[in-house]
Amino acid sequence: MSVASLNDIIATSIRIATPVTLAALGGVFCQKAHIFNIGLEGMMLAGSFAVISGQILFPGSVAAGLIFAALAGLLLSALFALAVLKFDTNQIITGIGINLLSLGLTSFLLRAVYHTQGTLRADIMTKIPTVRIPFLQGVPILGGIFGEQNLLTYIAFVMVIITALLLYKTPFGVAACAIGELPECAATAGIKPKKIGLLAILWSGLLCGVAGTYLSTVSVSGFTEDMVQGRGFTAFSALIFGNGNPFVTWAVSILFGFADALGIRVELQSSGFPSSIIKMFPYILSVAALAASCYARETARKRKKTK
Amino acid sequence: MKVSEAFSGLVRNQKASSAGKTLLRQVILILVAMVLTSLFLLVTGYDPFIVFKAIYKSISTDIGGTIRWMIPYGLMGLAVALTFRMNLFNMGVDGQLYLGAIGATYISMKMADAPHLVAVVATIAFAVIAGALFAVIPAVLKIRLNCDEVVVTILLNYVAYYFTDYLVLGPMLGDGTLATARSTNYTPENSWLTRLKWLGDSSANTGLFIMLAVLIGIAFIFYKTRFGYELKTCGANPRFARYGGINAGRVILAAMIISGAIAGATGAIEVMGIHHRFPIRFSNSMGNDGVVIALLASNNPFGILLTSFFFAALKNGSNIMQRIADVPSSLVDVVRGIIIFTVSARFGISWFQNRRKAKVEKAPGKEAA
Repeated sequence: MSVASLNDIIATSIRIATPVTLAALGGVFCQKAHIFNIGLEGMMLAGSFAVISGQILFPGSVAAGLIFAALAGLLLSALFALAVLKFDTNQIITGIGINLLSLGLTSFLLRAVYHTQGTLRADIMTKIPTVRIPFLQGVPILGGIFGEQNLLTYIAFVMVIITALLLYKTPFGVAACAIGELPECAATAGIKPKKIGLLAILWSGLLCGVAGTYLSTVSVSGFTEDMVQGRGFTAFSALIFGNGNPFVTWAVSILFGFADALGIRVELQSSGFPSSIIKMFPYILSVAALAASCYARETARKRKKTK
Repeated sequence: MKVSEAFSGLVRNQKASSAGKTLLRQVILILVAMVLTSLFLLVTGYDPFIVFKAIYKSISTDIGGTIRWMIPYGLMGLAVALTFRMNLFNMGVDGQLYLGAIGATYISMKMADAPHLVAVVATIAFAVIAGALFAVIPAVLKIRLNCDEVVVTILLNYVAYYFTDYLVLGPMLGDGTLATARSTNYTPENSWLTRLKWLGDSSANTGLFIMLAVLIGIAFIFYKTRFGYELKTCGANPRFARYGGINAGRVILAAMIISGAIAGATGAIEVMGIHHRFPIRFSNSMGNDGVVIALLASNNPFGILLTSFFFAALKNGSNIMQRIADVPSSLVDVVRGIIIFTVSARFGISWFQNRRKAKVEKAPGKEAA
C-alpha cells in the first residue's frame, strides 16, 4: 500500500471516529465512578440538533452552534444526574429515559419549531473548519493522523490528553476512581460521592453534546431524526473495553472508525458488495469488544479465586 | 395511600386487593404523565387538552385502529416484562422482531399453496424460532462471560436492522412496482391474518387473539409455575436464588428465548396482519414502546393490557391530533420519555419518604406530629 493511500485510510478512520471518541471520553469518569450512563446516545442526539438551532439563531456562527450543543448535552445530563443522584432512580431505566426523551424532543421540535420533517439545515451553514498542518502531510502514519483534520478531531486529540490528566493527576479524577472502586474508603477520606458523580455526569453531557455537533455539521450538513444511530452505544462499548482508560478507549474508538472507513471505501469502489452488510461491522465489532473485555474480566476473577 | 386502601378495601381477597393497588398505581401514573404532557404542550404553545381529546377520539371513533396498535404493543410489552421481571434487560426486542418478520416473510413466500391455517402456523413458528435464536446470543454472552445484556442487545438491534436492510434491498427485493420499491414482494394471501371486520374498517386482525393467548400464558408462567417463581426470585434477590439452588443461567436463557420468541411472533403478526410484505425499517422502534409499556405496568401481564391499550390509543390518536390541531405526531415519543421519568419517580417517592423519616429522627421532639 502506498503512503498516500495508507495515510488516507488512517485519516478517514480517525475522522469518522471523532464523535465516538468524544462521547466515549465523556463517559470515562462515569465509568470510573461506576455510574452506568447509557444516556450518551441521547445526549449526542441533543447536541446534533442544538448545533443547527444555534446556527439558525445566530447565522453562520460556529461558536454559537457549539455552545448550544454543549448546553443541550449539559441539560440532559443534569436531568440524568438529578434523577440518579438525588432520587436514586435505576440508572439503566433513567438512561433509556434520557435517550427516548431526546429522541422525542428533537423530532417534536423539528416539526413544531422548524416545520420540517426529515432533515433540518441552517440557511447559512458555516462548517466547523478543517485545519491543515502542511509539513506533516508527507510523513507516513503521523501525516495521516495529524496532517489534515477537522477542528473537532483535533479537539478530540486534546481531550484524550485532558481527560487523562484530569483522571490521573487531579483530586477529581482520583476521587472518581475511589468512589467506583472503594466507596467506603472514599467516604472515610471525606470524598462526597454525589458531588463527584454530578461532575462526572455533567462532563459526559458536555462532551456528548460536542460529539453530536460532528454528526450534523461535519459528517453531513443537517440534522435528521435519530441520526446518532447507536454511536452512543458504540462509544459505551469502547469505554467498557478500555475500562475507562482514556488512551485504550481512544484506540478502540479508532478501531470502530476503521471498520466504518472500510465500509465507505468498499461502497465508493462500488464493487457490488452490499453496503448494508458492511454497515453492520462497527456494531458487530462493538459486541466483540464487549465480549472480549468481559472474557478478560472473568478469567482474571477466576484466577484470583484459585489463588 | 388512603385512596388505594379504600380502593383495595372493596375486595376482601388478598391477591385481588394487591391487583387493585397495582391497577390504581398505573392509572395514577398514566394521569400524571398526561398532566406533564399537557404542561409540555402548554409551554410549547399548543392546546394542552389535545392529548385527552385525541385519546378520546381514538377510542370512540376508531377502536379498530386502536386495537391494531394494541396487538404489537401488548406483545412487545409482554416480551420485555418477562425479562424485566428478573432484572434482565432485553432491549433487543426490536431486532428480534425484525428477524421474526423477515423469517415469516421468507417462509410465507415458500408456502403459497398451503392451506390458510397451515401457512399461518408455519409463518409464526418460523418467526418465533428466528426471534428466539437471535435472543440466544446476548443470553449466552451474559451467562458465560457475565457480559452486560443492555448494551449488547441494543447493539444487536442495529445488526438486525442492517441485516434485514440487506435482505430486503438485495435478494428479497420486490419486483420494482412503486409499492415494493423498498420492500419485498407481497406475500401470498393464504398466510395473511384475517382482519376483524366487526371492529370497523381497520387493520385490526386475529393477531389480537394471539396477543391475548400470550398474555394469559405469561400470567400463568409468572404466577403458577416454578419457572415464574425462579424468575421473580432471581430478580428480587439473586443471592437467595443461588443459595436456594436456582440455576440462574438456565433461567436467563429461558427468559431470553421466550422473550425473543414473543418478539419474533410480533414481527410475523405485523407482516402478515398489517403490511403483507416486509417494508424496510417498518417498525418505528416498537421495542422502546414495549419497554415503556412494561415499566408502566410494573411487569404485570394484566397491567400490560391496560397500558398497551392506553399507548395504542395515544399512538392512533396522534395522527388525529396532527390532523386536527397540527400537533406533531412525534409527541408520542415525548410522552414515552415523560412516562419513563414518571415511573422512575416512583423511586423518587421513596426518597421523599426516607427524607421525611430522617427529619423526624433528627428532631425527636416532633415525633408526635
